[in-house]
Amino acid sequence: MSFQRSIRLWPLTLLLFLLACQPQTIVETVEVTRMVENTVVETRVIEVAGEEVAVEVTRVVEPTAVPVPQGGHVIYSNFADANTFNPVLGNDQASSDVYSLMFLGLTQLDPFSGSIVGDLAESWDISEDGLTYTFHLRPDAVWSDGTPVTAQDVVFTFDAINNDAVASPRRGDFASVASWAVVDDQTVEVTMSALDCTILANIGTGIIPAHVYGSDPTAIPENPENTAPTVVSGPFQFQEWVADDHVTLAANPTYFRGAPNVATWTMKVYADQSAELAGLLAGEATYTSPVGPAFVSVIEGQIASGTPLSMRKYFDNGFTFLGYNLANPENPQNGWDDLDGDGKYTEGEPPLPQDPHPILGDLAVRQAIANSIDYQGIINQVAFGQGGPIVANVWPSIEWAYNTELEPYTQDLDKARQILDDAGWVDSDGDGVREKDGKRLSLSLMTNAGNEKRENIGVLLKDVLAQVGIEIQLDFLEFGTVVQRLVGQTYDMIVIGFGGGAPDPDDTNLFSYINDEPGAGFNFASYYNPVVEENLAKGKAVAGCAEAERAPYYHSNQVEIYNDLPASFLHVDLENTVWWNNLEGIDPNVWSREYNVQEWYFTN
Amino acid sequence: MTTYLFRRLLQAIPTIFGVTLISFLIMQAAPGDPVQIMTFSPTFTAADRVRLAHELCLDRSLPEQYLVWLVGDLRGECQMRGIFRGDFGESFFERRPVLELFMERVPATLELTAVALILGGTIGLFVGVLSAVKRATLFDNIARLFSVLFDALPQFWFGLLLIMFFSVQLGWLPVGGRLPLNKPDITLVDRARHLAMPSFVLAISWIALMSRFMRAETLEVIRQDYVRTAWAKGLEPSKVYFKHAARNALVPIVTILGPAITSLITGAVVIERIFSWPGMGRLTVDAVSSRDYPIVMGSVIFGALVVILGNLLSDFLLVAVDPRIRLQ
Repeated sequence: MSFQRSIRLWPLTLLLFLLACQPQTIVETVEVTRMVENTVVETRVIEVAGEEVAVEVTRVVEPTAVPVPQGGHVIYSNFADANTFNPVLGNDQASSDVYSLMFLGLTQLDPFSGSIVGDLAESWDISEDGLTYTFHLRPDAVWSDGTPVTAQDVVFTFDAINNDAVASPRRGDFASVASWAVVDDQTVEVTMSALDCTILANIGTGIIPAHVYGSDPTAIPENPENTAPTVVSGPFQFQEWVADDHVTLAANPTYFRGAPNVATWTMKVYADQSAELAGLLAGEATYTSPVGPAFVSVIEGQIASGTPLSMRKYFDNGFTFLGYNLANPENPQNGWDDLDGDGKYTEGEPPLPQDPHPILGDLAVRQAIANSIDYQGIINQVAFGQGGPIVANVWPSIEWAYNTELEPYTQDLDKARQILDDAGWVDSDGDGVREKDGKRLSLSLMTNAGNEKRENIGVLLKDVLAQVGIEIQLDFLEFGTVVQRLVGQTYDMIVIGFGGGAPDPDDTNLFSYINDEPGAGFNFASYYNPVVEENLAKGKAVAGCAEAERAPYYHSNQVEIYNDLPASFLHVDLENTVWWNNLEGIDPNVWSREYNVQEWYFTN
Repeated sequence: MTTYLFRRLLQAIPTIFGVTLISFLIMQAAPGDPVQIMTFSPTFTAADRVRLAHELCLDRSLPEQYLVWLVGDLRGECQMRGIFRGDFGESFFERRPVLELFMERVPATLELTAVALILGGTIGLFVGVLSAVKRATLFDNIARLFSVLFDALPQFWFGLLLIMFFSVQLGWLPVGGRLPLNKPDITLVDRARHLAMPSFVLAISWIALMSRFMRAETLEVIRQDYVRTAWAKGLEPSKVYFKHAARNALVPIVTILGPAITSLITGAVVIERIFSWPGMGRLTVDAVSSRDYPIVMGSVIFGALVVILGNLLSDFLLVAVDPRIRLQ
């Protein structure tokens, strides 16, 4: 242990010069300590939309107390419970929070950049044609019962995901995988049916132990291991689950990166974010992530008054956006011409021209809306300052794919009015609402009731759009209804958001015509642009998948989507993790909070 | 009595199926689709959703879906199992038998409800009798004021207030949960600390109702001749009030016990959310939001059983407190 050093990040100063019409500076000082094997001094600068968002880190290395204190119980608060501890069946964040500490995948995300790095796989080779991936497993990776993690486990897991009887939600991840096979105990070969650079991210699903689950993947859904796993490969092993109350995991002494210093890790389930905050402040929880934007000032006040808490902020991999339906909501159609009449998209079927939305089908209206929105006002007033600008459909945390050349839209009401005037939308009857060809410029805007942030965005939008002559009917609906209307494509506009997104910028599911399928597809805007289609196809199919070679396709797509406006991207959330200072070593980041959980320890 | 019990339980079967059919139709009539909610993420393709709908039998007609829920998929094309298998079918989201999910949570709900019932019943009974005995005194006025207040207080607000005061400010009681974490020997005191706030908040409306009823009934009863006789015999006031008067005052109250139990169990849904109590509340509310029909239908059966058993309990208790009544 003598080589271990404590890196005391003292001080760590984040200077965030947020772009937008009203540039804003946030200065934070955070003290963080973590255990690492090597000293790393790092300075990072991130550019967002051509403006400076600089993160300067100064690290002063100090010797660590040896030995590191052992024991203690880490309690993570969450407002949802897990459903399963089997990564083959898991489909929700809370389950993933727990099983990712028990079952490792072939690959994982680099906590700082989101790039794909090895986990159970020590390395991998890609064939010259880019279609065959050969993964080499770590020889020191073992299950907690002492059995080595082998290629058979990987193949068993992939078989299970693709078995009809298992009905795994992960199956779509393997859409471009043709086959997988054991080469030897330590080597797995995955063959693709087509080049697909998203595969390394998709294939990172947790691997389950074949020798415990038995030879029959069809029995997996009913296996008691799903709710009480006995054998694991990650830093923690299952100890106890009281449904809707807590899940407790105990340190796994056989973990190949070293047994965790703490004795247990528990996910404590609270009713909602306000109960989570109460649990944290009462000292029941050791850390929580995230504290809701409305409560960030409470934590900041506590820290300012000397409460021994720390908070780390980072931009989320997701966004909140105003979605437009470009097609007629009274006539939802598939985006592809169903030539073979099988009711589903078959490769090669061409795009089908859509019946355009009577109002939003006019690009000028979307441009006017995009120029009317008070983006910074939404961040300041609705997100309580906990957000940043975003130009288009790629979130800034995927640094290599984010287009820094584009300027985010800003509010310019005169420009919005001019665009509408030029397009022939005028208020001829003086009622404050414009008309054209007998159509009133009146639209409905829906979001899910109870989501205060989205409701407030809706209210702000209604107010500001009235100023340029656009009438908005707000519909705050129950979530299931919103989803049905959205996916069914029977809406005008929606305020919605996605968080915890993938580390890959490929968003074929959102913007390709092949996923424009009312009731099932996620291209609910009915968006079609041949340039975007080509970029999506080429960006995914770069041989070798080098980020630098893929980036131009996604940069180009952002320009297209920025101009076409199938959606107005409102902001990216500034997420956070808050913890009590007696927990040392925690180093949360957008791509992972617990990547170094085995190094955490309590000082008292 | 056994014949009566058997007959009532037999009558309950068509009632329960009627309730499930109606709730199934209401759920289906409500907008929202479980597969769309389950896959509400850009990571899923249109093909994923179509496949999942097929695997969960959700691409069938309504009568077929109801039949699948009853007897499972006879065609063997999808993975769903029927309630006749004995486990209430399988949750779409959790992919586990509904009965298993219930068994993990029902004890917590029953524990909370039972404690609230006992707590509310005891406090309500004593306060009601004393209010009647000390009619128009300061105690009576305060008791009546609290009775109105407890009825009017929104429980979710009162619960949050208690959490902020007793948990965050004073640190005396836990914010939520049923048991302490990482404590090998859990004592009765540990359980009581976790139960204190949720059971009290759940009980307040029951306290209000019970004390008002008891006060009114006791006022009626203490004017009766047999109470005067008890006084004449020289009995202790406590015996007169609680043995002679209260027992008779309880007769009409027993009739509201069944509905009260039902109301407490349904009320527990809200309280469980506030205090993060791991009972049926979160499961049921989440299932309705996510259109997890098997759980919703199971919850409906559970609710119907509670109503039926609560009313049965009322009938039996009525016989116990009033020997003049016979079950037929």
